[in-house]
Amino acid sequence: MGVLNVRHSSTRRWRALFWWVLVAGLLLDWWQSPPINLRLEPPLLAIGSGQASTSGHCSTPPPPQASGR
Amino acid sequence: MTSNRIWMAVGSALVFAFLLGWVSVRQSVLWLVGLGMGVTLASARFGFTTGWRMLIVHRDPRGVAAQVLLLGLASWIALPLLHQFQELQAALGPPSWSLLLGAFVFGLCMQISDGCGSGTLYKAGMGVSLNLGLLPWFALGSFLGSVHLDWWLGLGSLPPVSLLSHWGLWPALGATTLGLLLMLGLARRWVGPGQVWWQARWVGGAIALAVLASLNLVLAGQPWGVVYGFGLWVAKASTAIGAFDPLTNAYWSAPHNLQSLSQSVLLDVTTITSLGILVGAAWVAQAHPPADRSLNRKQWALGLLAGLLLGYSSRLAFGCNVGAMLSGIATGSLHGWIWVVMAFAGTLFGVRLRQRWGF
Repeated sequence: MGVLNVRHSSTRRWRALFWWVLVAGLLLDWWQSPPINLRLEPPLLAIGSGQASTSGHCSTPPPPQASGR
Repeated sequence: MTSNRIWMAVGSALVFAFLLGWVSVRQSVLWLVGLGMGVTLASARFGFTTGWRMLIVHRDPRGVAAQVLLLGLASWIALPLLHQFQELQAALGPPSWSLLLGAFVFGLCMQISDGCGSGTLYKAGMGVSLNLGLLPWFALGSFLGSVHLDWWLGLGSLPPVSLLSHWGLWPALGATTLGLLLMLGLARRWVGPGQVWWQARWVGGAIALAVLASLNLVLAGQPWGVVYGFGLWVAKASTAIGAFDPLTNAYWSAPHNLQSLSQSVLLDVTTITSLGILVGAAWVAQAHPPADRSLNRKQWALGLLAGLLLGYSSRLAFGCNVGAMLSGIATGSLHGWIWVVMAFAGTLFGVRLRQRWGF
């Protein structure tokens, strides 16, 4: 029982550390990044806007000219 | 409702308000979509890894049947939208040696770590120790894979193949549907007669995830993805401490990646939905905590190594089960089909290693 309590307490500490590190990382990133210009905000819906997404996606390969392929 | 859940709901609402006021309306709504994904994945325990393992080990097709339903629904929504609206982007990865190897290794490792891309996220959010511990390694692997991606592609690759562009809407939809029916047929042949095929919570999860993934496409203009955000987090941190120069790297020096590195991660689509998944799953875990078995040191070491390889291989494979399999197949990319075949082959080895190492 004692061993179980120690383990659960340790797990709770790791979980708490995970969330604190995540929040700290986001705050640091926000603090270090240039302010967001809301006037350049994309429309709520990409569909029908005529504007392609500029965000990254895991399926996108490097540009051919950069990779030399 | 427990007080923790109330506080988490209040916190999520505050994040929504912050994104609405200081980032963009689109990102604030994508945060809600991510929360919905996290709640769905966690409450339905919708796992791609478990579904494949159940099919192979127990000849139980319920998990795979729900996945095929998800793929079918998502493709019947996404392909007509992509056909009609040119600004929407498909998840088009190039068929390549890196895809073959990456998908195989990913399929193998996801059985060791008991989580794929979405599975690792939602289980980490729920507080499952191994997935929580390996998430940073997953992110590191994703970054390293993206850094080395150009070298791997140099081994040989073809241009991405879009079924929609090559065949048009109805043949692409027909071929996708036939491919999914073929999957079910093969599963039926493997499990034999008399099996239960559908479980309500997984069917509900599949429908909800198809709707949420489609919302992601409609809002963001790109399909649901996970691992790009992981790599971005480490790339930003490495750049900030001077350990990495993106201008010297083929992948990260691409204009859209340089832009992602130069701005807040809160403007990145995959980051917002992944954060939503973590928090949504954590909210579910307050009421329905997951089983969390203890592991020995060897299992921990193997699990963390698998996490690193999951990240690395997912970049070689142009996505994980979400970015390559779900989004690839649903948006008519040939690489999604290659991914699922190779990842399943890797999983056949993974389930045996999982048993051997006592996971």
